[in-house]
Amino acid sequence: MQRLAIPLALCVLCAGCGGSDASKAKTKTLLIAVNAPFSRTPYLGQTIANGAELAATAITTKDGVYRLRFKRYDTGLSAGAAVANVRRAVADGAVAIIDEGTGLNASWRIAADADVPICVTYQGGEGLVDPTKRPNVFRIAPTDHGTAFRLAEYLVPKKLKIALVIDDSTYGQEGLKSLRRSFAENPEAVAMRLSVPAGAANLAPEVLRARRSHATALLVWGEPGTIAGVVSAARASGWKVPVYTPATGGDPLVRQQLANHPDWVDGLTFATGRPTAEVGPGPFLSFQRLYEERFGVYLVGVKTPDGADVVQPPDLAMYSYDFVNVLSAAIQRAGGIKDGKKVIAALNQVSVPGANGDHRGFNERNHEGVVDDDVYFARFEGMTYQPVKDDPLSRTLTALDQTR
Amino acid sequence: MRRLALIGALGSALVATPASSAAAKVVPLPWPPTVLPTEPPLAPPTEGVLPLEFRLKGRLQNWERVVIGLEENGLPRSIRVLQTIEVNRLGDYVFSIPAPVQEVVPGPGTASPPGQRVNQILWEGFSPGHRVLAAWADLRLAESASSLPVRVDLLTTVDGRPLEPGERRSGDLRVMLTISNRTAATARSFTAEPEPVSLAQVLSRIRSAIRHGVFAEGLNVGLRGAETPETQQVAAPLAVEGTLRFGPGAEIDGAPSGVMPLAAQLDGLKRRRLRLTIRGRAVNMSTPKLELRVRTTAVKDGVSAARNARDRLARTIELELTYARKRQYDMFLSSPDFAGRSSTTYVYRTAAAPKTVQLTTTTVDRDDDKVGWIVLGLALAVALPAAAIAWAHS
Repeated sequence: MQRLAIPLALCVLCAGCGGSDASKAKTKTLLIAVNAPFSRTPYLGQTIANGAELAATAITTKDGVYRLRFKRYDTGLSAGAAVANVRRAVADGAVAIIDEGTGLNASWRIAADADVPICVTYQGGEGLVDPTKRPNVFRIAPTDHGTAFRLAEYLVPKKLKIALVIDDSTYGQEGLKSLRRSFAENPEAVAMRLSVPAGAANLAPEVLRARRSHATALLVWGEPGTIAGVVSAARASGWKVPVYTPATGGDPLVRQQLANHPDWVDGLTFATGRPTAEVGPGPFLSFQRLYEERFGVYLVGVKTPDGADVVQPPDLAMYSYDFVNVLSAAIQRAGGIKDGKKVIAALNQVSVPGANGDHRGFNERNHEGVVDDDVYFARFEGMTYQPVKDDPLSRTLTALDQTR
Repeated sequence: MRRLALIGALGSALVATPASSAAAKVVPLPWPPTVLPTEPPLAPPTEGVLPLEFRLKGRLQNWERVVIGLEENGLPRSIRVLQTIEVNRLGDYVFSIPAPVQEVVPGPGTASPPGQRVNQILWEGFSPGHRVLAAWADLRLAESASSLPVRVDLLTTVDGRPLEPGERRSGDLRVMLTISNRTAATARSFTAEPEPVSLAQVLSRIRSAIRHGVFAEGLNVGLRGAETPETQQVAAPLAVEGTLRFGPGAEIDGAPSGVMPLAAQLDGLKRRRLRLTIRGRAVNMSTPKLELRVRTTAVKDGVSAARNARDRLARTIELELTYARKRQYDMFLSSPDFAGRSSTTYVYRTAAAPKTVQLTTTTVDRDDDKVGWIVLGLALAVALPAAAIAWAHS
């Protein structure tokens, strides 16, 4: 609560400063671009943009007060559109870009040439962030590497025979690279590796193959539709195999697609970045309250067994929120935005209290704002999820209320 | 009657206590962080250092291995530190270590990689109850060398002329090696007539801290009169051991294999240095190689009940400050838990001069690779048919 209050107080103070004529003359507007799939996956795009807009609204430096303006650029999950958006954002004078991650392999150069930092707040692909080769690229989101290794660390001791089900989306293929590495030392834990088409209507044949391989668990790395498809095919055939997924398992779409069979969702376990830290749920709950006051709650569209409406906590939004606060601290340290290189260098040197109570920041050797240790496991029961109890990190976390 | 006597005795004790308290005043013993030099541990200017959170205090242990590369004359050429921190608590950790770092890389057995900022090593993560964090840090020599515990001077002459690095000569050999404990410092202190009971408590706290390897705290002593300012010389006691190794072509008295063992206890006050002069015969010989391991040793406890109270106070302060000085050298890089357990081994080793290599660093991205392959493919597509045609017509 106290941590969250600091950036907010800063905003209020900064906003107050703008009232006098003298400071009005010095107030400038900084554009921050949000490059996300607003049309194809509106929940994801809007959550990223909302989080950013909830953060600091103004920055005070020795050059004066900068007000922040946010502009949304829709990628439609197309790499080409994402690259074109970055080009437009740079032309529009954006000082930073918050990016879902699509098309980043090409778009980062455009931003780098203009000394504009890009922060990925969703995709976790291993090659996206590299402080040496891509010094302007940062990320605040769980990495595929961290998620895959944490999944292996969690599942291997359970002595399961795991069928890895990977869809052919970019997300799935990036995940496969990390899974290969994470299970490399325990090949005996993998029963088979199965590639499935993303968004396919019927995955029954693939799930049957997995069952025939004597798998005792499924690890599905793919888009929410793929996860729902695999769960649906397994349960419809009467196979009560445990299903594990990366963060996409927590996406509302999975529950929406399985809304007719709520019991099929029970037991689905996903790995994602923790929304609360050891300090407790206070910071995140404050963030959630602010978020919901401004943007409303996100109703998943399903109900608990008691008939309560299920809402989605804005855990994804905290990443873009945190980045804007880190960026503000970096701009202050750099003394303004005249020199983009200075701002990028300053991003390596500052930390801020994050929305979940953690410290958030980057450094010269690591541009990942979410450390691998921060990946926890949550398990669905009655359409809401709770941290699991058989993992040291997860059992320290508090369950979040997800009903209204 | 007995009860009455007891009550009476208690009453007189209660009346007497305020009077005796008024006579004594309580003062802290000299506070090491203010009366001793601030370094080590190294403390370069930093911004936004993340301090250790209170819940981790007493749950960390710190080990360091400081590797000092020496020039042939004994001057430091490079300093690298392997810092290993053991976190013994379930939960989050985030802290930074101030250090004049050039580069930080993961150390052996580390559970997570270290981060690097200007003058800081960063650690962040979650400990499942026990976690080892290790980093190798290359330090900037100019900001680190003055805090090393010993100075090494090594002069090798052949026929009275210094033998230069890489040079080989024959003749009368003379090697002069001096290893100096340079941890001595002068601290502001005082003398006074102490309250014996309170002095005994303070002494007990210091001895307990020494036993447990932690910082001594809560050192307030009652005095019966005014204190008189004075200064106190203290130093970290060091154990030095190692070898001076001569290459082929050296004939040294007492070292037929060409290896001269070295060992000394240098308390820094009564015995400050080890001086060795080695004579022999050199035949096409190059400069000898030195390897030393330096560690702090137990501090000498000179407080004895046989002494008078004033003298006991003086010895107690000496013990406190000597132990504090020793602890400073037990953490060349600061331990995240300043008051916790720490130990450091300094390894001094003759090191070859770094070769000056013109490095051409080309950062090639995957996309660049693709472009390269495409260009190569196109070139081959043109060149191969052309070569075939040329060959057919030859």
